[in-house]
Amino acid sequence: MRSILVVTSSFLPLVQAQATARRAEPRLVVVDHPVGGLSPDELAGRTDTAYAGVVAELRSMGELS
Amino acid sequence: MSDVLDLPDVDDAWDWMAACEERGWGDGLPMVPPTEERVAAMLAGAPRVDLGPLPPRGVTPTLRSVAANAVMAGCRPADLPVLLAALAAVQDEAYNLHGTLATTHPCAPMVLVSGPVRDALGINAGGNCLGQGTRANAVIGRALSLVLLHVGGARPGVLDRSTQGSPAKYTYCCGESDDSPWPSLAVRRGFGADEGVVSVMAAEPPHNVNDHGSTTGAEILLTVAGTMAQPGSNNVYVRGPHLLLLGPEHAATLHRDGWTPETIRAHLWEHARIPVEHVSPGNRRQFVEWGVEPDGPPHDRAYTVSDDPANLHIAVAGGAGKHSAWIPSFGGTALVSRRVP
Amino acid sequence: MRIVDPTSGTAPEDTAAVTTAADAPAGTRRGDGSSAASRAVCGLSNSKPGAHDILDAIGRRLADDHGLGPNGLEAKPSAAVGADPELLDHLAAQYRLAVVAIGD
Repeated sequence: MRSILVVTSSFLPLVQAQATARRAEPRLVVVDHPVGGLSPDELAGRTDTAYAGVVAELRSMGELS
Repeated sequence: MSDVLDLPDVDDAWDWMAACEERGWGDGLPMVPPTEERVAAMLAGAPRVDLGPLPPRGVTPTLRSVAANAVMAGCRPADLPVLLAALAAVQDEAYNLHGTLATTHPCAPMVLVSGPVRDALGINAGGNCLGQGTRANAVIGRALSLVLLHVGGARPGVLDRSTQGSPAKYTYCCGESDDSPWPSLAVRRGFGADEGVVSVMAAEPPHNVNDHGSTTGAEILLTVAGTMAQPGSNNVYVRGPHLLLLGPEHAATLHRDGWTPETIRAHLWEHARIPVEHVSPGNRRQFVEWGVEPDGPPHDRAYTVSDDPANLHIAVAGGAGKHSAWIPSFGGTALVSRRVP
Repeated sequence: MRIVDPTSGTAPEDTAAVTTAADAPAGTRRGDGSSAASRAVCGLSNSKPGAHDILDAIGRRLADDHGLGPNGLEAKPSAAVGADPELLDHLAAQYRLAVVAIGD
C-alpha cells in the first residue's frame, strides 16, 4: 500500500526522525501548523495546501495524469 | 563496535557541561562524566536484565549504556536495579512508551518505589517526597529520563513534542509510604510485602488536594472528587489510569472512618464528575468523535474521570500535613509494576 | 578522558526497512501495475481535531476533480495510541493508497 503523509510543520522533525529510524522515505506534504482550533476559513486554507500537495504526489506516483 | 568515546580531558566542570551540550546530551543540569571506571563500578554486581529497543530511535540499550546514564544522573551502584526495573516497566507495551515520549502532553515517567528497597536506598516516601532534597529520588527518576533521552532519542523539540513539558520531566520518583493504614499499592497488586517493586505511569505532575478543614473521610473525598473533576485532563477523554497519592494524615482520617482503597475508589467513581457545562461545546463535539459522552439524568449530565473505577490507583506518600495529590496520566498508558531484580 | 557513550546500544539492524512510498507497491499490487485492492484512497486520521476534516475534503475533491475513488476515511481510536495493526492490515487489503494525517 502506497502512502502520503500530510504533516504539520511543527511535527516535521518528528516525522523525519522516525523515518530515519525506520529507514523509510515517506512522501510528505507539509502544511502550516496547527490544523486544530482553526476558524473555517483558516482550515480551508490548510485543506487547499494539503490537497494541492497530495495531488502533486499522486501525479509523481503515476496515479493521476 | 566500541561504546567508548575518547574525549579531550576536561578538568573544568563547565567545560564538561559544554562538551555535553555540544553533543545534545543531558537535561540542562550538570552531569557526572561516565568514565569507564565509574561505569565499571556501577555495573559491579548488577543484575542481568533483558532490555528491548527504545523508541523513538529503536536502539536497544546495553547494560553499559544504562549504567553510563546512571552515572551521569548521579546514581550510586545500589540504585541501578531500581532503574533497570523502571526501564523494563516503561517498555511494557501497555505503557505506550513511544506515544508518551512523542506526545504534546506534558507527561513524564513517574516512578513509585515500594517495599524494603525504598528504605535500603533512602528513597523518600515522607515529607517533600515529590520535591527536591533526596538524592535517590532525584537521581533514579533523572537516570530513567536520561536513558530515554540518550538511547531512545526523545530529544525535546525533535522527538519529544511536549507543548510545555513539565518540571517532572527532570525527575519524577518517590517512595510509597509504610505510614499507611492499608496494605501498599504493590501488595494490593499482588506483590509480596518483602519485595522491592517499581510502578511506573506516564503522568502529569501532581495536582495538590489541600484540605485542612474537613474532619471526616467523606469530607476529604468531596475535596478529592472536586480536584479530580477537571475538564482539561487527558483522563476525561483518553481515559486510562490515574493515581490518588494520599498524604498519611488524610489516609488516617479515611481509615478511621472505615474507608478502604476499594470503597474510596468506588466513591470517587460516583462523585468525581465533570458537569457538562464545564466542557466547551467544541470539546463536547470532539469527545463524541472519540466515543466519550456524558452520563446521568438529562438535567444532570456529567463526564466521568476515565472509563472504569479500576483505573484509579491509590497509594500513600508524604509527611505531616493536610495535603494529598491527584496524579492524572497521559491516558493512553498504564500503571505498570515490576519487581526490582 | 575515556567515557562510555550514553547513547550507545544495539541498532535496530534486524528491523527491515519500511517499504517506502517510492518503492514498488505492497503485495496487493499485480504484475501489470494494477491492484487487487478494490478501493482507491483511504484517509487515516490521527484523531486530532482538524485532521479528519482535511482528509475528508481531500477524499471528496480527489473523487470530484479526478474521478479517483471510491475513497474512505478511518481514524486511530485516540491520538494517544498507535493505530491497531488489524486496522492497518484491513486498510492495506481494501485500498491502494493511503493519505495519513500527522500533526496537531
